[in-house]
Amino acid sequence: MELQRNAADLEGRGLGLAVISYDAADVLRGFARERGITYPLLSDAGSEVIERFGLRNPVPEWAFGDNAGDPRVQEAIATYVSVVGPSERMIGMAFPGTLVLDSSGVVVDRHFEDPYTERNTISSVLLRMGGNTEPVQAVEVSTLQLELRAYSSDRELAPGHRFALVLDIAPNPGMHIYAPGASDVYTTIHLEVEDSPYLRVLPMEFPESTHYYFEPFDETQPVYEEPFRLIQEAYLDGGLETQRMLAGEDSVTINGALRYQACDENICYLPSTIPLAWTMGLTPLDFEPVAPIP
Amino acid sequence: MRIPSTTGLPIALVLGATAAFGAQAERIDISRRGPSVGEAIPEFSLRDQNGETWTQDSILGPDGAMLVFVRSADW
Repeated sequence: MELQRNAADLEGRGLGLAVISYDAADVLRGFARERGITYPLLSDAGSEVIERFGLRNPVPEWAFGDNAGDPRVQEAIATYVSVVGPSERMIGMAFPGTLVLDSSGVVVDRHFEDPYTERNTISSVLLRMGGNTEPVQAVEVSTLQLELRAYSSDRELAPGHRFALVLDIAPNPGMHIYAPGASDVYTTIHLEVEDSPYLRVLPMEFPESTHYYFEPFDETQPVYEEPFRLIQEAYLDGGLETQRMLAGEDSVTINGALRYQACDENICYLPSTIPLAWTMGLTPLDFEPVAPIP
Repeated sequence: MRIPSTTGLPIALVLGATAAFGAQAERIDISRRGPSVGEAIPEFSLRDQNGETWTQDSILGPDGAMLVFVRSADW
């Protein structure tokens, strides 16, 4: 389980961790025993607390209601319940997602996805909070212009996971790297991720750049001169097609290339390309029912 | 204003029913579900897999917590 792997890390950051579901306590006991889970799995059988949070998913009820045949209900079922059809036992379940709380219990961030098959990994949530997660299979590259450390937020992925590819970049002294918004004379830094049928890459949000004034051309360009981090978020598709395609695989590899152009006050180097690959273990979704422990 | 009804049913009733259903079927906007950023979470008291009771306060570490909602551990 992705959460169990991160439980110690969260504790080290002073963050508590709890999971809420509508499962009965004996099911949670069986699940915890089976998976070696040590953090609290809270049983909200009857979904009263889930309801109080406003996170009860109403769609399973619609699926068995008078309007079940309505195309809008069918669409909601496919998005929020199941692509293979609903079951009555899903009535009362929560929308899956994560609330990040401060020390007084106030929500400081929230991560909920529309398609039920997609969820944020805790590591990617931590990265977006500005934290450092333990680099996984970090690759270090030195060029004339910069030092690069590339890694993934997660060691293991399952279909539907939202995760992040991370690039920590330190320009060498005196060097500046052209940032988005610079004149198209320059190749601005960007990551090209190779197309894959099971990968959905989100637009990258770039950190703030600084302005560099180059006197001989009397031009000012947005650049990075200090160490900065690029976070490329992506989803491993959670659809049935992808699950079939990845069945039997024990890892996924994502190929990409970092493209950039850097200059110092004397030399403007040609655009550079650093080929990169990230390999992550693949955990299939587990559909086996849990053996309850009374 | 009177609106002619071809079915003989009171038109307002028909429209009302459609609007209520439309609202139900299209209401889902996950970004508006659950507590928003800046809001405190509601009170709760729930038992975990070991029979220990947890509340909105006891799950918090010195710097906060992650509260994760999942669909089910069972299927």
